[in-house]
Amino acid sequence: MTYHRAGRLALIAFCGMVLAGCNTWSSANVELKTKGTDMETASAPVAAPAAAPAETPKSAADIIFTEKDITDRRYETLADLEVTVNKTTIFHADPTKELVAEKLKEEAAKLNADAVILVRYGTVGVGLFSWGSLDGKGRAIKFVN
Amino acid sequence: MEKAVRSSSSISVCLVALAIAVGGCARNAPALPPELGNDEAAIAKAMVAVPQTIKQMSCKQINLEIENLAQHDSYLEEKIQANRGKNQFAGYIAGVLFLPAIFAVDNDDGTKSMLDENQLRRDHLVIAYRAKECPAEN
Repeated sequence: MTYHRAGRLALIAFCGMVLAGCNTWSSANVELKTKGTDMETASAPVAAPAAAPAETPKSAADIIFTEKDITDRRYETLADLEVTVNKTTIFHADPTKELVAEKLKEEAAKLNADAVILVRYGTVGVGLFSWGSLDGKGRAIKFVN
Repeated sequence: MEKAVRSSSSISVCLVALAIAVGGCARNAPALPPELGNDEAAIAKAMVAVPQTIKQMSCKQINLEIENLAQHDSYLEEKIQANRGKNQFAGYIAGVLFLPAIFAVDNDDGTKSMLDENQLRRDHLVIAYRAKECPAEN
């Protein structure tokens, strides 16, 4: 009986230590836009759609990021992105807009996009699986000549 | 008898979980506006929904209005954030110790709908900005 209780406590302590290591976890949803057809939905990770073969892969740091539109360059839409960042336990810090922005950029980089435009955020609160959940949306675009 | 007690306790656990989920819950990011790209017909179609007051604005006024909305958003977000600690504490107490503590949770519904209204206005401003072919602001 005492062994059982001690074992359970050890398990809880172990889980606590493991969870304490990861402050947040996240998920992403990418709605690919294909030319001449309706949208298709894919769960991340997603392969870059028809990128030029010689193009070097983008990193998140290369992605232009704005809450507005880009009006001085022509572009095509690659995908509508939606990401959610969750905190692991009630004791961790709430997810921030910066974390959501970084995740959006990462998803855009996977698509080899040039920018994420029209970015918008939700508000931190209790989610279905987390005590602190924050989501963000944006449109991944690629400039055309 | 034991079975009945067990089932009633699992119902209460579910109710508490539901109450916590509803109280102080996250607000989702508003949906993205329709895709405009460089299609003039799509821009004209989107402009139909834009209020007349925005249509009459100059590019400079639109930019100023977008900045004002950003400031108002920050104020509203701070207001929600200020309640966050209290909400989490009340939710935790309600879930673990004392169910009526759930009534102390403030969902900030009014503030959240103001944020949604701001985003809708911002989307209208962005459409007008594109329709007027305003210069890029970078």
